[in-house]
Amino acid sequence: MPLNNYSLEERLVEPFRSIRWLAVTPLLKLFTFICLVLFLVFWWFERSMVFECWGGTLSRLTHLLELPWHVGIAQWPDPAHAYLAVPTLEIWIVPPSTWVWWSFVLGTGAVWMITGRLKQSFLPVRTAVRFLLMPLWITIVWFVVFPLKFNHTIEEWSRIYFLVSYGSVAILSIIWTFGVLWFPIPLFTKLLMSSLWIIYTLFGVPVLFFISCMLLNQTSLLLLPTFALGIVPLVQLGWFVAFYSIALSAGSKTR
Amino acid sequence: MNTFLLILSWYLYIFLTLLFIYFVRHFIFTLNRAFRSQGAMYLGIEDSRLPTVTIFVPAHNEEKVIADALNSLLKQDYPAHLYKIIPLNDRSTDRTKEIIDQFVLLHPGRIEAFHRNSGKAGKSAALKEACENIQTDIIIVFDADYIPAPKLLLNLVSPFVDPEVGSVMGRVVPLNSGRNLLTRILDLERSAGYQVDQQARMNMGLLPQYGGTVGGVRTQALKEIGGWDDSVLAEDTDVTMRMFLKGWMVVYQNFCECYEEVPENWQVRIKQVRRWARGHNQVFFKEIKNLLKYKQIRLIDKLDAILLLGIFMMGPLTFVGWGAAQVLYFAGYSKTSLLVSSLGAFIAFSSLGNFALFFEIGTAAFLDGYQKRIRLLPLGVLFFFVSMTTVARTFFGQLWDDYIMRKELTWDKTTRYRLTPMHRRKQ
Repeated sequence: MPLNNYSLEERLVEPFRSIRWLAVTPLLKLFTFICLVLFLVFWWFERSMVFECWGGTLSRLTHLLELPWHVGIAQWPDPAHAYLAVPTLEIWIVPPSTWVWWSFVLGTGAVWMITGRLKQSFLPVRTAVRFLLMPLWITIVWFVVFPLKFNHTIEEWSRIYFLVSYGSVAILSIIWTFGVLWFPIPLFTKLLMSSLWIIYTLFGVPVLFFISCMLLNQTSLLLLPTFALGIVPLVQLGWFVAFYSIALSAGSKTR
Repeated sequence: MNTFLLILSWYLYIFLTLLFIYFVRHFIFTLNRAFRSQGAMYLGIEDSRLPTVTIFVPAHNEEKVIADALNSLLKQDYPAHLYKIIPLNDRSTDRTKEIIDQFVLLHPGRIEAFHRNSGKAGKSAALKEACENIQTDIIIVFDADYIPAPKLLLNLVSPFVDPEVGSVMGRVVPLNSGRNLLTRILDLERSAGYQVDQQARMNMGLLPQYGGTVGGVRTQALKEIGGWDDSVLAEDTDVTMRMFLKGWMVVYQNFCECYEEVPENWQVRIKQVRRWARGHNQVFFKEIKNLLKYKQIRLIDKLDAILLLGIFMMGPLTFVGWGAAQVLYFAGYSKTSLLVSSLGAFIAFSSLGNFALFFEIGTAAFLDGYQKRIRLLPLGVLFFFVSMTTVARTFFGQLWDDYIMRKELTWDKTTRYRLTPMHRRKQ
């Protein structure tokens, strides 16, 4: 068969075909398992490399958009015992005034009611929106009861965000290894999806954080718990599942 | 105030530990299915002395589907004199009674009608009443929307050759999976539930669940555990637990596939989830004490059985956990509470999302060869919201109805979508 009749994927995979048999051997399983352990060890001891990458991305984005924000490094859980030094984004966001607070009460109520008008076929959307409004309701109720307490900041949240991202990427990498690397999926797909996942891990995570900070800056800190509890963890996971499902889809054979 | 916050913080850590246990459990199940061969210890058993079987088909307003079910059951590759079909017509107001009576006339001796016009409503009550005078060795139950293949009955009955087996469960496969997005996602969810969850439990010698349809029970075992309990909504979970506590084995047969209809719209789906959650929680409160006291099993079996029973409790616990984390954060009690709860949100989706870890769904779809359909997996996030909200609301509603208002349970029937023979002719 002339080479031109091969698909792009086949042409790329062909040089590696001789080693593809390894994909199903216990030897490769052992090898990938060792790689995973090494990765996790690296992930913990060389975490500063990843944090620097995230900090660098945040810094470049801030300069690119000429925003008056500052990217710093914070130590967690306290400066005296620095277990983790994570990047933080220092932004000045005004605590909610009475006007902002009331507009949020009305806005939350309005969105809640509008979602009630959605058709039955959009029920998941309605539920999702209302689900995400719940932290906002708790926030509003909290400030009704304790109007003077407002103790959350972007800086603090950025530490939480990057720590959660760091932990979740480690957990997802375990799943990735078992679910994608070990499955009989075309090598090209494995490489492509793994590369996309690594790129997302290194650059997508800070970009997502940056976008959420832009939104908080434009609206109010009152939305922070909604982002922290609802939107961000699920968007992170959504990205991963998207790559993962495409990889599995490529390898799945009709029964 | 400080004591209250302390309690909240303890709750949060215990809740996260529980979530993590579920996460690990589902992960192990998935790895088992992905990299271990499928254990099918009752495959290809041929016994010259086949047991006598009664097939129950519970039906309440099932005019659209009952004829298909009865026709399929009549064509079973099983000696006709050894099995009898009993459609349980539970006060239907449509043409169900008429259709059943026509079948009885056409197939005398093979189909025996059981019409109920009074007594407690619901599947478990109907089964309890109908089982009173059953003399056959085995009882098999099919819901009225199921279409069993000719070999199914033989395969379902074959594990009963083992005298320790008290109950057998087959696999449910959606018939209308291509209708819309909801049915496609439900198809994936069912795939995970059976291909991975049930089969992994079978492989690992844990407790698979008898699902109340496409399955059966040994009559002797059923009598020993005291028959069907008409006070519960999830008679399947109830029977599973009581069989387990009496030392009977529950077996899952992955190759015993049978087609069913899945909900095509959200209202029906929510009703279904609500019924499952309510019934499951009821059994949890009923059996948890007995399960904790039960000593004749391995610790791992007991732990898995408790986790199986408690799965629908995790929805409301998650809601309370997120609320608690936010209050703690605002109160300045613990700066890490938001971190913990964010991770909690993440793990909750991973382990409980759409009733199965996304890894579980992905692997099941991979094993089943679903190809493009696997790409719908990210939409599980939206479905997760609906499931969690429904389960949580059901739990709080249940507490109110059962323990405060003392309301009697009602059975919500699942809507059918198939066209009746008359409608088919019109088309």
